[in-house]
Amino acid sequence: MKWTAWRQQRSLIVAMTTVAAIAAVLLILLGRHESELWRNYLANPCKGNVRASTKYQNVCAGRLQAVLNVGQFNRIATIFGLLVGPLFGSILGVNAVARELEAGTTRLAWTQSYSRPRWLMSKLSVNGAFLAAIFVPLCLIYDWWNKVAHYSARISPSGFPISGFLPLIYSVVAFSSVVLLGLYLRRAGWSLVTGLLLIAVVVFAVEIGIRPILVSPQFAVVSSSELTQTSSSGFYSAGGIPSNSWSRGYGYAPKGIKVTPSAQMLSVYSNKLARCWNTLRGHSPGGYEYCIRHLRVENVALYVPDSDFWNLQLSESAIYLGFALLLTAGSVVRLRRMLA
Amino acid sequence: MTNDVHALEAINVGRRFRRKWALRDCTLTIPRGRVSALVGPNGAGKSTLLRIAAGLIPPSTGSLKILGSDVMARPPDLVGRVGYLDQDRPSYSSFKVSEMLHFGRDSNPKWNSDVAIGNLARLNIPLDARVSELSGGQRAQVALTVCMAKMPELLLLDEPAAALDPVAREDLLRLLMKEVADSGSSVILSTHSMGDVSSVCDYVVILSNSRVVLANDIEFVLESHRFLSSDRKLNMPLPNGAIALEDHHSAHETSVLARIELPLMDSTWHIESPTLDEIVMAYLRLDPSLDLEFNVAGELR
Repeated sequence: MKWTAWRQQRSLIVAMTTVAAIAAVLLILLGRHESELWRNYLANPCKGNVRASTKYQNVCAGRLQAVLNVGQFNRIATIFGLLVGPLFGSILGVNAVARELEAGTTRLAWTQSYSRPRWLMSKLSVNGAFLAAIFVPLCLIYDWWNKVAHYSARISPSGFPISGFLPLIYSVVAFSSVVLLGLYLRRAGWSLVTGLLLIAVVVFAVEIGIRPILVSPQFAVVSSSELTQTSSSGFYSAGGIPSNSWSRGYGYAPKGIKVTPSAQMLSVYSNKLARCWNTLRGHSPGGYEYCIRHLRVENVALYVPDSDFWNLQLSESAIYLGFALLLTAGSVVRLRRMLA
Repeated sequence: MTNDVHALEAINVGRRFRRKWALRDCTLTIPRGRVSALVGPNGAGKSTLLRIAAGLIPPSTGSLKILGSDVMARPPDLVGRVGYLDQDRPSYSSFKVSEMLHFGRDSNPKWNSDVAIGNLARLNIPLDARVSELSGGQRAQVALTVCMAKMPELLLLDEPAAALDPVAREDLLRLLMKEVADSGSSVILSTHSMGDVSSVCDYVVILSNSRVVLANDIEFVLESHRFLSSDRKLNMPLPNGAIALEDHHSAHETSVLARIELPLMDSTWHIESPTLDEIVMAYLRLDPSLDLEFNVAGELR
């Protein structure tokens, strides 16, 4: 059975392996190039600061521009990293089930000497093994590239979905979704389209609704005069916030606060400050500083540090894998009841 | 497994697709060790009955046993004991013929490679050809070979020779007969061709309007039906025990195709033996409201 499942997917597996291999090579080349550009920019005399020395201003500006020039390639790499998991998983899922139902070959497969759940499990195991084989190295390469390209912090919303093992997890969820949809819709095209829409909705819902509550943010007092230019890692960071963090927002909180303020508290004090400042604007030149002192508030930033990355990855992966298991259980139930 | 277990035993089996009944009140027993034909017009319920028997669709009503096991209970070993060939003869078109055999071997523990390779060699079907490159007849042969090499005790074949040219049809039926002779399997096949029924089958089931109207040995069916003709002016009543299925009237003669339970001794009728084709056609033309049905023993129900 496993041979049949593999043989049915062989062309796709070859094509996807080729695409993934090309992407991996390009990513490695891009990463090496960007690593070199950053090394130049962060080394003497610029040290990551284009305004560090007037004498080398042109040189440093040129080095910074060289870094910025590869930004479009970084965007392409990020978009590819976001889409590759759902796309590969969905296409494999469609070919494994919906296309077979559409072609009527299930009437051949389901009258052989095994049960329908075993037929499904053989497909899941073969495709799962392939997805793991292709995405584990790709995920490692993406992690390395993201680190050397300094494009986005791996725990930030733009970096997180292409970091750790989320591309692999996305592919597994997409595969499970499309398999279940294929069993209902029996049409390859519709299953692919609805599967991709479903995975987009799920990923969006997790990012907006679930990820923020999986980790508790920390806070730091920020002084507007302390905005640093570039950390040693290459990321800009505001005073007090570690680089590579996921910024969850800024606001005002009572001075000397010991516990992490809620977003609601930040909003309340920010509004108070705004009202105070509006009242004084035009009458007092130091109105802002006055209001800060008068209301006894300080500017704070909420952030999730990079050290929470693996906790967040594991929590989110567990949620996605649980969802994929539910979908698979749904597929088995549907398979037992459906007509051929 | 004892021999008194039937190949197929259906009790009030019905299958409804939305509002339309594809098969209704089908009560039928087909003995083992026979090549049985399911005959009927399009939409009579032949394919539905075979798909229920193959476990592909559940019945809406009634119960159906295959080789003594209830298909709805899905005993794990049953699917391996039954071979099913769908009327569309589905096959993996991107596979080579040898890969279709690999699929069969991969999917069936009792797979017999000698049977598979021997059949294809006899039919000159190259193992390295892609299934998509084969003719319709060759595809049917490959599908039947995959079905047979799994060494099933019962073969369910849904119009196996449909849309084949005479040579391909002949080859396919010859292959089927060889298999039955070699393995002693039971075969239930649906067909529109009375030629196929006459040449390979020894049991016939006629389905009409989603119901079984006749199920019996072909030999018995031929023996128990006669054309009776007489002068029309005489207006003769039918002999005792004869049931008229169809009558034709010309200017001078009345001709009746009748089912006759007892030897006919009446010399006032001119008696001729009908062909199986004529008998089947008469049953298929019967008014559905008559609800005429004979059981396995040949008795009118």
